[in-house]
Amino acid sequence: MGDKFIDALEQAWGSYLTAAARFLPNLLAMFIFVVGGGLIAFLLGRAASRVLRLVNFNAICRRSGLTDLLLKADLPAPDVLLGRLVFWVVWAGFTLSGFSALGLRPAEDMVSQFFLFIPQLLAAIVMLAVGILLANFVARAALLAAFNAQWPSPRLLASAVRFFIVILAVTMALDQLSLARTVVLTAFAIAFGAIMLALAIAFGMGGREVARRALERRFPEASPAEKDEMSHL
Amino acid sequence: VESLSIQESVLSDELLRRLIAMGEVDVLVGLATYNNAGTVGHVVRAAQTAFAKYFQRERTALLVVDAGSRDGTLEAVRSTQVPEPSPVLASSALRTVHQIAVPYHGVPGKASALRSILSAAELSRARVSVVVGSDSCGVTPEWIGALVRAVREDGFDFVSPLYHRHKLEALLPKNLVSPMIRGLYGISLREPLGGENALSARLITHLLGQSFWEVEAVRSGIELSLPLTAAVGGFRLCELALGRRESGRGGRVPVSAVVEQVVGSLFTCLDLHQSYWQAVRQQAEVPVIGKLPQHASEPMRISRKPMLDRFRSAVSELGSILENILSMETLSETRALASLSDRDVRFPDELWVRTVYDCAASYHGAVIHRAHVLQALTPLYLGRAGAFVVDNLERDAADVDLRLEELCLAFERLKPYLLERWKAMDGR
Repeated sequence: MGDKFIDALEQAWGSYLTAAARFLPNLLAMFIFVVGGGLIAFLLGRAASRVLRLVNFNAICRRSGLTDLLLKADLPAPDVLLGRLVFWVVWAGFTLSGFSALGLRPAEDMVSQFFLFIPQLLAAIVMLAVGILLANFVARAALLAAFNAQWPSPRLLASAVRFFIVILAVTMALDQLSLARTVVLTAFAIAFGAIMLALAIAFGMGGREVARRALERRFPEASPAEKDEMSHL
Repeated sequence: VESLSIQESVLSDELLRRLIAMGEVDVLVGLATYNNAGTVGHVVRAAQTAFAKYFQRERTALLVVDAGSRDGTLEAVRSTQVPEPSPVLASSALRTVHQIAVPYHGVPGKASALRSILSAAELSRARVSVVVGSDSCGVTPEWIGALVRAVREDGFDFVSPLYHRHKLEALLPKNLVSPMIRGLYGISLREPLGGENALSARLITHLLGQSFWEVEAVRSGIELSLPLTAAVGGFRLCELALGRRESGRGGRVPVSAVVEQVVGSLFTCLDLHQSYWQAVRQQAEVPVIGKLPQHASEPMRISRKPMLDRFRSAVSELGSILENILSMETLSETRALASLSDRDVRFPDELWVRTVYDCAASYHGAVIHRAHVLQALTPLYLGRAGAFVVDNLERDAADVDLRLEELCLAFERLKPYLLERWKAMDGR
């Protein structure tokens, strides 16, 4: 009885030691992946920021209006932001690889899903960046055109244009990431349709006078300024 | 051979056939038309009378290139009667006077039309070519005669017109184009946007070999590139006093489009000629032939309030765009100016020059889309124009001329400011 108990203990201890001997190197490997990966990710992030600063990336973003948008969202400068993104993507990759080193099936699945997710993430980031750039460009063009054509509230028009394009870009980016796809698309369609309907009703019923005045301004018979004898040339 | 192949590509088959049939000429008068049925007859008669009156022994040709008018412009040209020799005229051309009126091919616009005229002049070996504005009702045979003589007898390569203008007319050339050209290129041209010009054969060959014909921003204000390219190429320029120009140039075109075309062309020329104008240290003399009478001083109806209102609202509405274009100092002074009432508003010369130079540097550096720089400049120009009207309404014409001279000197004096900003843009 006693021998059997001791044998069982020895067997269990042996199994434990075997399992531990098999697991510990994996655990060590995971720690090395996490810590070493963190260091590599940190260095790569810093290097990415440095390279972006060298190519004057912040100035390009400032001209395109991206920096202003980031500042409004209380986010750091574009070079710092992209450096951080590089750090987190690289470190997350190393960390998940470390977990897969443990030999656990769920961790391995997560790693493969993560690496499949990276191209989608990059595509979404590019979509968002291009959307923001486009929104700022079109908004500025709309502001200047509306102002020079003497339309009422040019800034409101430009803000509306920017808002619609940014929302469209965000929706497309989220769709690319397959995040709450149905909810996002439905919400976008409802919101967009509702805004258009509201505008149509407001302009058609509530704002007939405003519409008339706007059209009169758009197609004037002959304003006093046009009756000027002055020619700019 | 290269020149001929360029001409072939620019000229339509019909025009080429007519030019070959015509052969060589001494004097060619060219008109670019588009829906000018109402005015083109007068210009054609003036040219034909000039041929009969001043160039009886010369081989002459009138070339009308049309951009596809739908109002019967070409028919009006063809049906215009050549004036019979009158007792006053007492002369007629001894040689055949050629007249060609055809549509041109290529991208519609004044640049393609002008290029066709110059190519035709080169192909027909015209010693002197005169380009006449088809919308000008004031063109006389004497103008055409004087333009030709300035090239043929006085040896100039480019003759720029000088018109009899109201003191408050042509505010864009007076406040921006002309003084900026003087400040940077060192040449004084009071009507750089042309209208009626004469060109020598060697200048035409030089112009046709330039690349600016393909630059869209230059094409839209092509008239400016002719004297500037001539100055850069070391050709002889002069101004010729003509008289009152009766036309509604720019009257129906929105001011933002006028600024975009004219100033866009000037700023693009600055890019193309930067090594030239940056090296210019002193003024080159541009002789003036003839003399104009005193400025017309009849009253003129001008609404200055809309111009000043648009300037004020631009400073508040377009603030985020102006921050990208103007320097901090210029922007803060502009904001202070916008807070003044209509009666007190004065746009100081130095502030205006810095505003224009900031825009030119921003356009060069493409800090934002180049068309946006020009669109943002439009209300600032209206502010300057409105203030100019307020300031000079009661002054006599000679006094206004003195103030414009001061503006030119300010453009010259502040050239280092532009150079500094230009280099800062290059170094970004």
